[in-house]
Amino acid sequence: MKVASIIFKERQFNLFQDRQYFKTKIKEWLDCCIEGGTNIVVFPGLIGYIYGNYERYLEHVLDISLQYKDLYICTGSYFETDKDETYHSSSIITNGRICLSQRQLYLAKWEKKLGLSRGYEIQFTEINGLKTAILLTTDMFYPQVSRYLAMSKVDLVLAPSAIKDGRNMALQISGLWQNVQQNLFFAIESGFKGELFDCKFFSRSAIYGPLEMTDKDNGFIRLEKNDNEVEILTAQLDNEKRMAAIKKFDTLKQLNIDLYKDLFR
Amino acid sequence: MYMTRIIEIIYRRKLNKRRIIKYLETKASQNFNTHKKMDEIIVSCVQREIKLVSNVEEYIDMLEEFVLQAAERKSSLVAFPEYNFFDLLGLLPGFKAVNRYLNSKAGTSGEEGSGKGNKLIHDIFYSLSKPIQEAIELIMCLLARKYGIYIYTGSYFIREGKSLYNGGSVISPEGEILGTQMKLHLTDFEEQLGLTRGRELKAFDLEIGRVCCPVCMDATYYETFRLARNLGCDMVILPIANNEEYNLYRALRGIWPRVQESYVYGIKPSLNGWLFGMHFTGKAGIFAPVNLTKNKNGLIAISRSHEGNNVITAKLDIEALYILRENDEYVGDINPRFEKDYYISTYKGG
Repeated sequence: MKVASIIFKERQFNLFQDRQYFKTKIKEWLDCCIEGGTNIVVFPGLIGYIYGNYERYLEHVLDISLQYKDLYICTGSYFETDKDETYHSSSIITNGRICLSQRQLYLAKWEKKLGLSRGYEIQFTEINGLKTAILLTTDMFYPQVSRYLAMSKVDLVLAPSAIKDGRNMALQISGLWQNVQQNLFFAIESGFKGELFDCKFFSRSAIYGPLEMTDKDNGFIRLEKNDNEVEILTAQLDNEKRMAAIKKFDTLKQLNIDLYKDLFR
Repeated sequence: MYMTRIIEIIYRRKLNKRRIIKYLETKASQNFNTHKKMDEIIVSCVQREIKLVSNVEEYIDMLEEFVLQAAERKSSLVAFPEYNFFDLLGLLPGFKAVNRYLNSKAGTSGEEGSGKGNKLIHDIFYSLSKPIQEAIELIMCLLARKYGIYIYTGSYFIREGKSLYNGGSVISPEGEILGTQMKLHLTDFEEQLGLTRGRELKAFDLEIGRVCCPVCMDATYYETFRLARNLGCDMVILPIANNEEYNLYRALRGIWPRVQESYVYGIKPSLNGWLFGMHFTGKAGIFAPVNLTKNKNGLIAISRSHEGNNVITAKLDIEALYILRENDEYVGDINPRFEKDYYISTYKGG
């Protein structure tokens, strides 16, 4: 299965304030995905927020998805309102329908200041035989969420991210990379860069797999580089190769479950 | 059975208690008074190479050299690595020659760590575990008292009934064993060897703070460090002996991410060298959350090489850690509704 992660450029941030540019860019990304035979694409964190109204943003992605048959689009993240609550959310859309919506479970300090609320459930869907879930940006730093996904036998995690002060690569590695290594699923991260809510966000896009299956033995299948030209990271995800890697280092096999009864008291 | 009994007798003789006490008494005594209060916490961890010894005195000298270095740096605590007893296998008649042969054949059979002969290895370890445990604990207690320093012994085999554990002990500057922690998550190799895993993570109250001492593979699991935080720990000692070639990213799967997500200080002593044709590598280091480190990389101090001997020392600032826990972006949130049935929904209740 071929997957793609959009690379959001810092210089594009202001351009994306223009609705027409925004729509054109999304079409460009999707055209590129279809030409490359991509099955799943992940948009960056907070991109739906930049669009303005999240309902209109979702309508736009739902409409445009009809033109890209069988392509699964992870919308990136947006702020969703429901009654009096606002959530940091994301969805997976294909063929004009939402097949999964996910609300973020944990909040960063900046999200608390904005008065956001927490979701409490995790949804799953199956894409081309892989059990798939969304992991929103702050949840990457709460390892209990990734463990829940792994124990639910998730194969693939889609992760629109927006890491505050994330220019430091060490911070990003302490997020999704390490969760992939202790849970051994595939993950596709699409990172937002820009300034919102008086916060500077910087997340690199990356496609991750268990270390034992990656060419450089580093857990990165693909990683965004400082390259102005490349706008989309793509990779073939070989699930058999992942299973072989798990056989070499099967972390979940050695869980000491009786020990964890008081993990959350 | 007969052979293992003989091995135990050999080790009891060679690790004779009176011999250990007598040797340490004859060595020059120094009083460093490094034992400090909370206002300044300096800790050290040992990176060391396996060196098969011919007698217990060699082993004592080797350990004491590390304790001395830590004490000279005014450390309150010095931590030794996982499998801190391998050197004592040199006391087994003929072992050095066998080990040289296995090391020279390393990687040629394709059966490294495959589990063949594990029953025999288990029986040998079982038979020598008790005398080695008693010797290490005695040596470390005497060294802790001599230098007025907390010692984490590093790990060794601990025999309880018919079970064999991999665990280590914390010793007070007065030379008392404060407690012992068994390894909670075994490697496949240890499982094949027939080791038993621990059932509880313990916390130890030292004057410099509360500490937990899980072992090596335990750091592959976020749960271990979450439990350490639940127990009120600010420092976690994690002895390692990684049986693999050194790779930065492999090393990053251990204590480093655990420190980042749990906001504790991490102290990692490491064993390296060759044994049974297996190559152990790893850098000793002292770790902190990224925003508590000068270079924003989560490292306070780390060994330059993954091989050889080294003592890594650093000053820890617990107050700064508490402030960071309050203010950092991605820490401290709770989701009661998600967490309420987490154990059952995630682990299916065991």
